[in-house]
Amino acid sequence: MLLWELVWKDLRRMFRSPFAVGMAFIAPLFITGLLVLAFGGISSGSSGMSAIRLVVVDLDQMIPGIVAKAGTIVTQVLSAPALSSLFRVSAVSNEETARRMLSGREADLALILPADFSQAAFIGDAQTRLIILHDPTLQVSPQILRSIVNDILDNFLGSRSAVSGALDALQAEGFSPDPALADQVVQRYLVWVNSLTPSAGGSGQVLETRSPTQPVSSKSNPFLALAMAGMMIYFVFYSGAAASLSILHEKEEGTLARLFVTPVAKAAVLGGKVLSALLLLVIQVVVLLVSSSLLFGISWGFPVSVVLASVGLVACAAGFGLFLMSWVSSSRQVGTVMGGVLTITAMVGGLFTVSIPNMPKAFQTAGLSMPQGWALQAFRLSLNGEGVLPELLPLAVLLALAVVFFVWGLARFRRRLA
Amino acid sequence: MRILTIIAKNLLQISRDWKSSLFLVAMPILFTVFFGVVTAQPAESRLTLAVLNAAGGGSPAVELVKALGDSPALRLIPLAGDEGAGVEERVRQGEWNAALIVVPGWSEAAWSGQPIPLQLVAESSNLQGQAATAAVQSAAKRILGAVEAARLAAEFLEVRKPFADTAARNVFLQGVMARSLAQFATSPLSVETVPMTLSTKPPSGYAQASPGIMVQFAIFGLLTSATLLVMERKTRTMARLLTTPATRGEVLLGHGLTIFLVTFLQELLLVLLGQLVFGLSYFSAPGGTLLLMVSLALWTTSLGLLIGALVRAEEQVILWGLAAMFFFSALGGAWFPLEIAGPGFAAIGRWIPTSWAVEGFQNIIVRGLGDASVLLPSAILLGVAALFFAIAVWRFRYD
Repeated sequence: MLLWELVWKDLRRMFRSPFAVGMAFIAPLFITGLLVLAFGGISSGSSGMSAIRLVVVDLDQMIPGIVAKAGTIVTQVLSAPALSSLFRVSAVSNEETARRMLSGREADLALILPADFSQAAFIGDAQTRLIILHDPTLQVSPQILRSIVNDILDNFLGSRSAVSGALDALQAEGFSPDPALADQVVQRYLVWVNSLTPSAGGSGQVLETRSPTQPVSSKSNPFLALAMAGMMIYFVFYSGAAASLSILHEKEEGTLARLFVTPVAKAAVLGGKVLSALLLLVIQVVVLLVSSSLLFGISWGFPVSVVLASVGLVACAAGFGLFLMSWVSSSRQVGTVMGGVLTITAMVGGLFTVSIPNMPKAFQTAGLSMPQGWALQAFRLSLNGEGVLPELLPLAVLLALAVVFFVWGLARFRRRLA
Repeated sequence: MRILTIIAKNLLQISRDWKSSLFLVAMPILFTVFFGVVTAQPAESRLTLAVLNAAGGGSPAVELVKALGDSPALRLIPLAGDEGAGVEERVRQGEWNAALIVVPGWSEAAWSGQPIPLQLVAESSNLQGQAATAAVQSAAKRILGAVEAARLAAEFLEVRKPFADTAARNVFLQGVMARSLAQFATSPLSVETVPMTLSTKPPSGYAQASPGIMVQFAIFGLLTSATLLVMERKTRTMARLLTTPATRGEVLLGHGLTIFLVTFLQELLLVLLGQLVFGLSYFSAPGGTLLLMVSLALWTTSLGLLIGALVRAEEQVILWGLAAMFFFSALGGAWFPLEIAGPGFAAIGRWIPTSWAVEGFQNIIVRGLGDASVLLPSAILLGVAALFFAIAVWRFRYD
């Protein structure tokens, strides 16, 4: 009964603190919310990026006898409604103006179409180069434009091959060259190209891509689900440490000394602290799982998997918090030590880079040197819908670490409070 | 003199707490190294693509595998027929970036003008998976384009002069396809991306990490200083200070200058680290770098005083300090470039003073611009700092 009174007292104290509530419930949702705002577009199938401000400098010259102009076609494709979410296209007459606009941040990219573009695209063999000028801080946008322009150039070359193939063959058979035929071939080729281009209304498919992982819910955005998992683990570990902080506070305020002169055993007092930390973390994890599910549409996985991952997280975070606080000598050190140790271990554990797509494998392996890395692994498996069996390893590691941290932390506190 | 005494007292207090000092120094260095390495390009940039050609020896399928092998973006790993079962697992485990299955009948479908899709296993939420998808798509479209060019040529020729037999038609088709592919291979058209920079150094992962982490930890560092203010109020040291000849203004200025010095020293350390260890060009515009460091430190000081003025308890300092750090770092583009963020996020981010700090530093180290390029970012930081100072002085409680 007395134990529960101690637990209740600690829980009440924690929930009365706006700081504790903020760090436990609001901060992880707030940061994930920021990421939703930043990258939410990815889930809706768009690029998720702001429209790229593109200036086109079309220096391309008409070729006598050919109606089409390659420069005009490229500009039209880039300005088409299908690409309007990706590019905001404007045209300028010379490269100097484009450079000035880039320097003045009025544009992100400039595409320079050379004077001999049509010549090279339709008939000539002389090399020509299209230039994409860009601000050097931009890494992704120039590659997107390059990929799209390369596709358009491939279509030019494809239609040119079709025309030359037909005309050369006809000429070899003694037929005279027919300009109207060339036009027909090009038109047919473009119809075929459009049939494979969804943005042009085509239904054909070159590739059928499937993900190697099977998230339980297709509605879940894997980027945001992992980001939320990372934030949840970080702040649950934070709460674990903050809960054990009450031992330090009570010692400094003198209430712990008064508790020790009551008939309550020292073990019961420390046990009460541990139990209240565990309860707080259970409440925190449940609230975060449910609220992130409702707010961001995250499907965390099969219930059993989620429970196993949560149990491991709660036990390990509470143990780690107790262990960490057993090394702090005064509340003055708490802010930076808690922030510092938890942030470094979270960083190595991969919580901050969980959504970075091209992480080297060495970092993922290094992540498992930290308890946070194993907690992340457990939630990752749950999100991937891997089933219960693969989760047993991270769960076992988390529980083993929890036992080590609890025993070590309690031993240190008992010595300090003796 | 009194102000200097207050500063000396504060610095002594901060330095005596060696654990706090360690985190003020060690954490930003660790973070810069970590994120610099993470965002740097790997030495082996080719993506591994496992290919199972289940279509057999049809010429489009063979040409596709050859084109993929020739792609500078890909390192091809041919698979035997019985290796197709576990490809998902091996991609998931990271053994390959993607796996392609050229399905049975793919060549025949291409010749018939009704292409069937290739099967690709790749992680779509992963940049490497996306890049592999783009490379495969591009190669496949070229092969299909060459096949279509041959089909059209044959069709237009047939109208005028039918082929003698199927074999003659096939020879014609193969000839046109081969010529088309040769044209793709020796394309007269190419696209080049040219960064507009005056800097001679290529941008590295540290060009984002170094200024970003500097901004983030400038805000993180104020936790220590703002805590000092709150503790002084809590322990009544502030009240005792006011019984000395020091005026309220001197007390506030002393504390403000302490935060400024701590932040500035931390920035100096990170700038030196960036310049000397990571090869960034902060010293190419030393005046601009210095001006921006001072502006950022003053803005951080104003934020620290504001937090110290508004909150009552030590815990609240940590809460508001961390909230400010997350808010200003994320929205200001300190964690990731605003280029890749959504339109709303990027639009808000461009109004945040920290984004101007990152922009100013990148003007020097990435764009290779001179001292003048940081005037606007510095002016914005100083303007917001003045506003925060005014509110802090107005709301500051000395008791």
